[in-house]
Amino acid sequence: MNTVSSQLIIAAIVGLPFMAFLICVLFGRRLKENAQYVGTFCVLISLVFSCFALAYVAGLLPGNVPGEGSSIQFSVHWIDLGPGGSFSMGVDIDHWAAVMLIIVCFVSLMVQIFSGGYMEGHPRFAWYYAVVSIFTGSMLGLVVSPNFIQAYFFWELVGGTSYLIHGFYFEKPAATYAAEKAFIVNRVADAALFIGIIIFWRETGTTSFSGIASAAHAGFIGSTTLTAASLFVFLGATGKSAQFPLHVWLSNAMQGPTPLSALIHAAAMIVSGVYLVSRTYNIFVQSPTAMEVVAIVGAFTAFMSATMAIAQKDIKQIIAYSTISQFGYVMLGLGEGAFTAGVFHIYNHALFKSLLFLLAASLGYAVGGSSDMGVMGGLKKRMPVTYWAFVIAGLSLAGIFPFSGFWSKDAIIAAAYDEGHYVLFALALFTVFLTALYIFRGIFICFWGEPRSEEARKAVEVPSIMTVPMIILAFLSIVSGWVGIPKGFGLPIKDVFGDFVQPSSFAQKTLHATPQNFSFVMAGISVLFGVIGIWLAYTVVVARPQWATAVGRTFPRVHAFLLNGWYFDLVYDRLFVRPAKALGGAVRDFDLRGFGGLVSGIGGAVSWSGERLRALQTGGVQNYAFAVLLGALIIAIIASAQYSFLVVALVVAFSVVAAAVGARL
Amino acid sequence: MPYSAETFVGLIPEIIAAIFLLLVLMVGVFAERAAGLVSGITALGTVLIFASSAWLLASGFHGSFFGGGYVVDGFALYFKLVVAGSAFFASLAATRWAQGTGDATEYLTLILSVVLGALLLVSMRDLFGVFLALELATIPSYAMVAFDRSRRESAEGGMKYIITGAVASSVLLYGIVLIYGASSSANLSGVAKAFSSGHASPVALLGLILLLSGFAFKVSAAPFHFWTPDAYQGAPTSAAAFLSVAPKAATFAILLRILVEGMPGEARVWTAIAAVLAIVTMFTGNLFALRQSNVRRMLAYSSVAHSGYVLTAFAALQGGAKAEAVQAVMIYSAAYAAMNLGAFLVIDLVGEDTKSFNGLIRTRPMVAASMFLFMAALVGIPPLSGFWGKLWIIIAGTGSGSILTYVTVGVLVVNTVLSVPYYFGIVRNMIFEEPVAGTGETKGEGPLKFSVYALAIITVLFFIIIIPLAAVAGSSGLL
Repeated sequence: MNTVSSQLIIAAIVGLPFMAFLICVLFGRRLKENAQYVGTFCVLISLVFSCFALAYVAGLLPGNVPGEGSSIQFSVHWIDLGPGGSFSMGVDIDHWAAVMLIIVCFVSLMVQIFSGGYMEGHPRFAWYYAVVSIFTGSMLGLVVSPNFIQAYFFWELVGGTSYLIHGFYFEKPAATYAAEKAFIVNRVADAALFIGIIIFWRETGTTSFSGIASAAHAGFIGSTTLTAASLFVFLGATGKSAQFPLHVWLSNAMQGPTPLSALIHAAAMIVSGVYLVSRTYNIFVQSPTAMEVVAIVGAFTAFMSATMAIAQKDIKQIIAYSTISQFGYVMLGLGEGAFTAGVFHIYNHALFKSLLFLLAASLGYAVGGSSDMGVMGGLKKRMPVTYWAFVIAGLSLAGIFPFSGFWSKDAIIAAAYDEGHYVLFALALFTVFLTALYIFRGIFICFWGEPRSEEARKAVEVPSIMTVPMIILAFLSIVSGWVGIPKGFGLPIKDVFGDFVQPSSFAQKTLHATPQNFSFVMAGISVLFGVIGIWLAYTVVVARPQWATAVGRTFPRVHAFLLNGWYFDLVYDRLFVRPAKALGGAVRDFDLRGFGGLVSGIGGAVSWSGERLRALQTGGVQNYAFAVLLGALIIAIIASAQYSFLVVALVVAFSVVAAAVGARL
Repeated sequence: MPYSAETFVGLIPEIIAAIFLLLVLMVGVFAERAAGLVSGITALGTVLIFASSAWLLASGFHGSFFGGGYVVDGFALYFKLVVAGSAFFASLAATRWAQGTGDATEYLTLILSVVLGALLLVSMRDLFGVFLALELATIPSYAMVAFDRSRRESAEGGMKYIITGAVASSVLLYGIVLIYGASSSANLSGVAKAFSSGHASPVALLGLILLLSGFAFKVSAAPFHFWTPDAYQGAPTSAAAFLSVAPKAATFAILLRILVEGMPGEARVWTAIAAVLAIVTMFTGNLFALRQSNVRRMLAYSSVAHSGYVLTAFAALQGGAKAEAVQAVMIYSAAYAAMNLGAFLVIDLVGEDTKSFNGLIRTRPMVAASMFLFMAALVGIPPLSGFWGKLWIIIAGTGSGSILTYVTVGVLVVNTVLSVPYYFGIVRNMIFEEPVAGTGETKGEGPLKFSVYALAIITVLFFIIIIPLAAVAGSSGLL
């Protein structure tokens, strides 16, 4: 990738959405509804250019040796750190990054087309497209980043712009809390990521992903340090990808426009965490402990959030918890060394999850803005396209053969079994059952039975600007997995995805990975679990609704436990939020009262003068002056810790001076 | 020959400052009501100071005058640029307020005096010269804090500032005298000899301690920070904005020069002091800022916390990362100048109660967007300016090889997270709360808005500005 023109094309993939952002912000008032064409057109061009990048790395372009693709790499020198080294900005697109570019651009395109109908008439229409564009651009920038510093940049940009999304409907009071929580939880995660980056930088003198991996391989980093740094990076990833223990922000952060949730969940912010782990895979594989942690956290998160999803009353909440759960699967796959299966699931998930959110948006559009399942019901006949698309997405999510989710999920579960992690395997398998149960519970409640509200009775199918992206995505949710049908399945087609997106040969060597064999028994068991889940959902919602009520009445605590997300919010509130607030309050009171409290405890002479000065409306001055001297004293003690003969003299001298000053004032 | 043409060339920025200082006074005498004119003259003066410093820097000027007591090198010129730049925006911002009070001449004269003091300060290599320049910068700032006669807080803040400042100055002067006594030289090269052995005499150490205490007051490091919230809350906003940036940057610069050039032999001692001060300062600043309902007071505590961040770089001045630590102080000062000045000026536009920021995104979207950027930069979110300062500090700190410094850097990262809620609180109010009445535009705020937008652009484009800054900081001549 040497010619300037082709480098410009690659740079334009990232640059165009930012351009769209600027145009929509600067000329938003004049553009009005035309803003959608700016955003959609830019991301469409980005998509075309991404296809170009994919063709290049796949070696399909004329001029390349066929089948001999290489990655796209170029960079410019950015900042000189003097003796410390330097930073560069650049692009590094390998096979997986090229696929990811297409996913991001494609999902963004679908969301933008859909939003043309969904957001019609909204007063901040142009602003909406500005937000979508900058969000897409930030994610694309993250995808192509060749080093940690640049990645961290776009990482923060993704996080910062997501704040614009959570706060889009600032008229809603709940949006405040959600945005605040999302922001602070992500700051904690970002701080962890930054610590990880700095450790790598200090140990290896570079921030480039490949440089760190090879330096670690060459033994520049001790194994403990490597594990620690990798875990810090992973903690950062858990924040963005909403994995345990930092998953708490996501379920609240559903206040933004629903199509934007599709973008966040399927192709942008929440994907960025798992993407970073997959991108730095060569580093992770060198630390078995880190890999194990990734796998355990993934499996546990998948299970935990699936249980939470079962009890939800809001269709968007169900889908949000399902995102957490599905990325748990991805983490599990990555942690088990099944790189291809893990990223294959990101790819499949992008399609069916964006579809699910668009469907939730269209449900909300049809029933007047609410996503509460209590106002839905009986929409099967009224909204046939939405219904069937929802069923397809649900089957794909539940991993039912031959829908797309089946192929990747099955491979991840099989990997857990092959690695001998039977507990994780059992969790993952049980989660398949839970997944099918929660999503079909939602489908049956929304579409079957009788309408539960006047709006649902009057609902009609959404306009075609919205159904077309849904139909495209539904079609893809069926077939997208077929590009990765494993060889052992017996069909005479190639495993295109598996051949194309492979872990680096370095990772394969380090993991001693053996090619996975497709097992019909395993596939059969996982599909069976899914079918049982669907059957149970049908039973408790449609056939025997009294069962669900009975269970809910018998175990009210269990129900509340699941509905409230295992009370994580409550625990975190007690553990972190309240103490922090109490501390802040105490400190503020301290500030209000001045320094007086402390000083009056120290000496009567000073408080006596304080009384006199308070009458002069300048109370506290002498205390401040006293504090200056006290500070000097503290410094002196620190300094002379190694010169102990000074300590006594200093303490005496300063006490005298302080008392004198205090008395004078 | 003590004076040559070169001396005058090296002193051009200071000479310009002095000339404009007199010019503003004279104009004020003859045209009493010409607030616009004098603030224009002041702004022009700062531009000329900036341009001449930039020219000296670009031409690679390096000179040492007055018996080695005054030096013009890359390091000094860099800080002169920071001082002149922030003075430019502060004088523009002062226009509206000064017009309102009718005391424009006096107020702008004070600003220029502080500028002159700060310009001289960063070039000093003689401890008594340091003291003189520091007082030249500080004494007008007392007056600036107490300048707003219509508000009682202003007098109170000024009063507290003067009294504590007098104590601190005497402590500082006593320290300087002791160092002079121990090394029989006030010149930094002479001082370095007394501190070179690594076993400085107790008197010299006592001098060092007192010197550091005095400087800790000037940069409002805890536990010497008590004047800061009262002074900044009382002062006219443009004065608080200016004082929190320009003299502070210059004070950090000269402290860095004294420590690096004059006391390298005792680096073990003063890095430890700086580390402990930094930890205490960061926690104090951020914890006190958490629940403030007055934005100015909150930003005052935030400026305390930021002093702690810079002190972390001082703690990193050892081991293999000295050069990066010096760069960190330089880059942080510039980054902080842009974002903090901007945040204060927005307060000048909007009001100092957190409630006055309610719904600002709807009433004044551009101002709100600027404030959003300043707050995000103060948190340290890339690619905004604050991130770069913190990045350099962390890079320096992690390369220092000292456990205490590692701890300090860890505290810095923790504090960065700790500071999120209060900066974020402003953003939350701007976006989610209902607008209150009376936050609309007022007359004559054009220059102020220009300053805010310009600083917002600087804050955003810092990832490009950083390239020349890093180049200058990398070849500053210090170390």
